[in-house]
Amino acid sequence: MRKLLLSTAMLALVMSANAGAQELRVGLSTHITNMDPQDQTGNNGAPMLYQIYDTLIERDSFSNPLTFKPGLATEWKLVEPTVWELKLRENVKMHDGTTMDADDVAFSLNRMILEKDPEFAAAWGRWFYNFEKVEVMDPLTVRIHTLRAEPNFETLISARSAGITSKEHYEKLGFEDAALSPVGTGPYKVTEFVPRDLAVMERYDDYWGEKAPFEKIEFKHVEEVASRVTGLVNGEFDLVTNIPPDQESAVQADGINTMGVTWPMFHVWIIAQNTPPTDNPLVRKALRLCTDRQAMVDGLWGGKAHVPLAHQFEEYGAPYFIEGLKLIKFDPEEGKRLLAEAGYNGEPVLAQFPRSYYLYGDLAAQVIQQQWAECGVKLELQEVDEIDYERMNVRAWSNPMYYPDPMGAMDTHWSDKSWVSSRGPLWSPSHPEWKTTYEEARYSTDPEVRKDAYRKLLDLAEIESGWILLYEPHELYGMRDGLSFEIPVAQRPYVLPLRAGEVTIGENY
Amino acid sequence: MFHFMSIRLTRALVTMFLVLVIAFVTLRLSGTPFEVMYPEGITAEHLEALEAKYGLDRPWPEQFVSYLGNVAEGNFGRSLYTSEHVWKMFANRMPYTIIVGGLALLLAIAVGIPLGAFSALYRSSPASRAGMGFAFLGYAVPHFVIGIALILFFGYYLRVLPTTGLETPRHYILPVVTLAIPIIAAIARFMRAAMLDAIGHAYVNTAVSKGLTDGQVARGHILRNAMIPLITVLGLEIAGLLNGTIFVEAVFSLPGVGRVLVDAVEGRDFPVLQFGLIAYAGIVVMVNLLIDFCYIAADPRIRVEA
Repeated sequence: MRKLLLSTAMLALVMSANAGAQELRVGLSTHITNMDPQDQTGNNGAPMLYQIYDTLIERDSFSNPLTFKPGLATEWKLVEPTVWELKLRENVKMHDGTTMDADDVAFSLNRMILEKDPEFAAAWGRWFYNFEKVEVMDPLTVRIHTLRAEPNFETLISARSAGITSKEHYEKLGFEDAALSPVGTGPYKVTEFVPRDLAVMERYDDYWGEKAPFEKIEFKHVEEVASRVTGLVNGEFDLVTNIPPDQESAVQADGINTMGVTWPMFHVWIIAQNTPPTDNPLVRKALRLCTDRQAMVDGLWGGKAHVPLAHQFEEYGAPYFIEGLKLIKFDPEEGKRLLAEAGYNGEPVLAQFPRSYYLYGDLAAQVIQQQWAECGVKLELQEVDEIDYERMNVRAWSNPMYYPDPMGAMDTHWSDKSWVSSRGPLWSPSHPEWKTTYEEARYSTDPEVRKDAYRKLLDLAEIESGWILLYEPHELYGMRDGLSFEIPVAQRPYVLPLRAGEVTIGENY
Repeated sequence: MFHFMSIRLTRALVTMFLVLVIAFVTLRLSGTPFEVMYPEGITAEHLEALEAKYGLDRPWPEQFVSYLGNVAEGNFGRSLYTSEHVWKMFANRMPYTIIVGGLALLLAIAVGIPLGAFSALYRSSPASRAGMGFAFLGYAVPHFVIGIALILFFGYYLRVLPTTGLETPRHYILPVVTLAIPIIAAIARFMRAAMLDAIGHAYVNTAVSKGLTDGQVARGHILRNAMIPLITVLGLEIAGLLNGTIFVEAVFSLPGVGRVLVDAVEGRDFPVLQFGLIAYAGIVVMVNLLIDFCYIAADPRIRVEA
């Protein structure tokens, strides 16, 4: 099956190479506040930043297991256990007309790695905290130093948050204005940007690689789902994103196709370890057992979302994805027994939500309130402006897989650099083997050792029970006939594959 | 006259200053913007560093003095989210809001006044009752419901009108109509009431007794007298129009200031909100001043009192 998909993708590559002067109008549910590659870490920027910025090493977008290809670096090697040397591509023209060199690479990455500005702290904590510095060796050679040997170096340096921008551009305009007029080296160049509203990109004719298939792309912010659906049906857009499953029938129209996608992402409830009654691990475990995920998937998502079985995704590929692993269970009787053993006496469990951020999040909370009530747990739901981390027991979150590796959803969210470790701390694993097992899963250079350590970590996570994985959400793309693409499983969720060879544009488009 | 105008202007300036103070204090009471900026979570250290970078860790009085100094120099700061100059954000987007709002107001006047007048003059007719029924409905239904209904009908089912953005004149139709419907309703209802009130006055009986035709009485005595209180209603509707644009811009994805304000409220974008509140308050104060002056022009009794 995977081979079939790959061959389909290959066919798409060939077909799309013929694409000529084409335009694409995209209706997005969220937009972006600026276009700095290191500053923007959210899902809302993913569809756009991918088109503008290149990374030193690129991922093969559809590869599983993950494979890499040269990007702005043509070759790279480990010269010391913590030092990577990369040779840069010659004569790469940036969107501002300058030529990309080692100074641009050092500028782009060092401002984040060296922690000089809090704007870049989110990217640093999620991907680059093990990076020490970028050293310029000559105009076309850099050395990237890590604090410890980094088994995921290629994976991390190919994240879009390691995209390369122009040093001259930032020095000339300053951060604020430069981030509003983005300069990268990618196949599309931004010609107009109105934050949170519109981004217009045109094919960059001086691109170093294969030219982009679309002559022009417009990314328009259309917040209302009814407006996005209407805009597609009405011919105002060629592609719209984030259509919830309950709107699928509305997008069924002549000349329109839909593509469902279940993202490698968990909607999560964090269970605070620092606040009674959830400071007791037995209570936390009981809450997990009393949560019927299948009922939510059926009731809220029309059966389209996935019920998670463990904190892992198929997209990890071999050797990291563990087939048949089932750690998550629904067993309210066992839950009640654990609550009794913990001496739980109906104390309120306080869930605080700042606002409706996650699709169906409010409804899921009400369903869980009923499910837990059947186990005798009193769940109080509060909508608040600011979460009180000293009082709350539960808050909603999501764990997207930022890169296809066990650490792609674990380390980016639950490491000791993450915000959950600094608040309260909500998350403070106390099992004596947690730290050493985590270190092994994170840093071992032997893939088999990493895999086994991660497997053990999942067992320890069951004991800690600091989170409840609810489901993997399902959404739809709606698009005009003649346009099609595969989900780029090697990239983070919401990336739109609009580069050469990644999208098929039929004759009827 | 000069005294009257100077009092009104002084009041307007005091109102503006109070708005500025209230905006500054209430926004800071609402909490930090950075918790909202990072909905997926933010470390305590990261939060502190951001507050220090933007000067929000300083005592409020210090922040306020610094803000006043900047405002005096015409520097309203940059958005915490987009880094755009705040004045530029409004300058770029305000024309769209003014055009959509202005067209909606013109449409509302063009339809609302005749509808109200017709309903008053022919108050027992079925057409009048139907017209006022429409007015009540338009007044009761919120903008976003009207907007979604129009999108579905004209965009989704009939596919005859575009529903997002303002690229062509056709793009203006649905947002302008959405915005105008409640104002049409308000003007028509008020016009009808004002005319019925005028009809009951002795000067109308006098006009009829001296042999004027129905049309002459309606135009010369009823309509003219009913128009004076209508100026007040129009002033209030212009203020309401500003609120309406916020919803309409969100539903139709328009590039106006309403969406900027909604985003700023949700994200506690202090510089944008401060400027937005001052700008909106400024518009409302200006409209009130204009209405005061219109009264003077329209009603000699007020001119005498002034």
